Amino acid sequence: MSDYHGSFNDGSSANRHDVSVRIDLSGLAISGDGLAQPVVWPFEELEAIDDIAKQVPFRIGCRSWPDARLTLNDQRLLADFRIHAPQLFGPPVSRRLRNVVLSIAGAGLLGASIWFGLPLASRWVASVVPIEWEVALADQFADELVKEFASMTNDEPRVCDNPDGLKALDGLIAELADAGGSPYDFNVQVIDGGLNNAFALPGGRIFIFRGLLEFAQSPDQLAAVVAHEMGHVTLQHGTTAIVQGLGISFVFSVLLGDMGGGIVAAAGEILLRMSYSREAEAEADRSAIALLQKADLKVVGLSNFFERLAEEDGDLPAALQMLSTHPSSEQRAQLTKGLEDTGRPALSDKEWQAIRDICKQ
Amino acid sequence: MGPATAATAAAGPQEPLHQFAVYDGTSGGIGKIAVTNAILGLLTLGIYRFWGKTNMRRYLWSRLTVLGDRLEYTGTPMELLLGFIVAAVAMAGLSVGFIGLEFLSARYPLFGLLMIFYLLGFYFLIFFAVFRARRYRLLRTQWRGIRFSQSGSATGYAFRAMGLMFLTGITLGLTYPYMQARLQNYRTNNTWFGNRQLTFDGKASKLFWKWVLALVLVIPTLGISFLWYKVTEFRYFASRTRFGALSFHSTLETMKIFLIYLIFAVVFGIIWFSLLEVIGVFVGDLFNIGQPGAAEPFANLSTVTIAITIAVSLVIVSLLNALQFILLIHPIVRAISETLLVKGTIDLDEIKQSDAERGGRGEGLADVLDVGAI
Repeated sequence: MSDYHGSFNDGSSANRHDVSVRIDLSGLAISGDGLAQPVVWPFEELEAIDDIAKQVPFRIGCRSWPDARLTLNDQRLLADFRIHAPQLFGPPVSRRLRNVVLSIAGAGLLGASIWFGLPLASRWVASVVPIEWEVALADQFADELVKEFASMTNDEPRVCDNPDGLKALDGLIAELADAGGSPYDFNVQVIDGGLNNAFALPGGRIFIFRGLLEFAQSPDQLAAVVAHEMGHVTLQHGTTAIVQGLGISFVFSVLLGDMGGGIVAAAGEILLRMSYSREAEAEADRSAIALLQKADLKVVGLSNFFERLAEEDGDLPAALQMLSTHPSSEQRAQLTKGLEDTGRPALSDKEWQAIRDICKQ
Repeated sequence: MGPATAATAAAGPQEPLHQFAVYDGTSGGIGKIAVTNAILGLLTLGIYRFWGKTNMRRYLWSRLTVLGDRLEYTGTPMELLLGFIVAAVAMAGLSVGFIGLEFLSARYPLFGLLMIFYLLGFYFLIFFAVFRARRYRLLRTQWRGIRFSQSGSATGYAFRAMGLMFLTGITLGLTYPYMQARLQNYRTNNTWFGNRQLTFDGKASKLFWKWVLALVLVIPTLGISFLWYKVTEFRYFASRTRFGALSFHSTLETMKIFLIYLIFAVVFGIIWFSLLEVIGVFVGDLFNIGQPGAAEPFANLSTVTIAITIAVSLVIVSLLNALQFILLIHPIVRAISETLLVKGTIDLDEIKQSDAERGGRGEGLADVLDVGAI
């Protein structure tokens, strides 16, 4: 059996020794002038440092000689290595494939547990946040948000304060709040803007735009919208969404690390928020119906309001419906169908008119 | 002493300069790893990146022949993964604290002050992480069976970096060369090969007027003067770096680096705009907010739109990652190694393995904070 020429680094000095290498029964026998005595590296302990099938020269290590390296440049050795030390050529393709499949499955599992676990965790976190914190947090961005919504219809955000209107509105709020028994103090304001919209902030602040008062045809519809927004507050949808947003951006940016998690985090957040939002809207609708029934008010206003909204904007095509943040107006219009509606009107005609005129100075 | 030692020992002090390193990586070899990493990274929600990074480093290190011998990367994916888990748990704790503070400072304005310290802490962590990651990479780099290592402390480095950054800020950037020279000093003088230390004695004063010139010209040259400065800085720093009796000299040219960036920008631009063309329809939808009846923006955004946007951004991000290796890192490593010359000798018999611990739990913090580099 012929000797091969190689060079040897012993792992303790940067110097290099010329050695001759022989294939022995149990391993590679290495000998040379620089070595005090011949060394044997057992086949099963050999490790490839380079891609030995492709690179010349190539390096080999030995597990019991941690830093020592044997550099060889004779490819005739490869035939012997294939027989005695197949591990030098890397794991077989089947094992690599299995690893890939396993890690994709693992990632799927991880994704699923985030997708389902995060909303639950956020809900729990929101539930332990003291109410005063929610109020303070909402106060921070309330003005900014009102301004943004008002600017959609080019309005200056002015809080309407006609005394008669305020009195009637406060009456309605008190009635609903008493019936609901919510731990939150509700503070409802009408903004002098043409937008047909209303929104609630964590902690109990609710904003209604003048445009919605003009759009609503009856006090029952207004009561339904207010009850819906109260549902958002009591069910802590806003706070949960904030906590969830923070959570998801953390999870994504940490998981993806320097793979550019930022963009993905932003997109993932929107996606998750939308699915959460749709559920939250439906939940707020249900809680609004329950609240109206408790307060002994007509529930049909909720359906009527959304029926009109559906006529008005035509809504999205059915295929895209399940994909937006809100349930479709048509779906929502069906909510109160078949319910016994024995409640009384929410306001007298005079009160209703006062609220509609609340922005008159 | 074997003949191999004589090969490098032959170069006496009067000898001319000779090339320090030869890089024989190919764009095909790099590309195969980069694209595999991008695809598997996407399919595994990023978990594959520890394996991908390790493969890439093994490739790059082993294609770099320094004074006749190849470098070797000895890190493992498991080390990176473990380091990541530790860092992620720590960061989760910090983030929860941050959210708590956010709520608290909404209630009690005084906590806002605490927030400032918190933000400073994050900056601190970034520098801390960069230094730790450098230590890990050095410990996992071998040449001729001898490990590199790093002394100094990550805390010390982070404090210096924060102070120098503050100084650079209040002097409106004028003392940037000082910051760079001081940090390079700390990094290099704490770098070891075996039991031997690298040394650096660069002074910011040599770079100051060049920096001023680069600043003045940054607008008329569309930022190219900044690239010129960075190349000049690199050459100067190389010339002030010593390893024993070895001294370095770089002839790297700005034009070469500029062309590399230009090609990258053009290729990336073409890909980016053709992709944007395809998804243009959907992107338009993204800004279609504030519909009546919607309680919040994005109300009419469909999941289809979002899913396509996410998919496209993911493809773009991974493509950018892969392209960076093929069109930036690969040619820059080649350009630097082709132009890095060396003079003098090292007595390889004298260099012994250091007793520095092999430890280091990977570079989790740098990964989590997105400052991982290669």
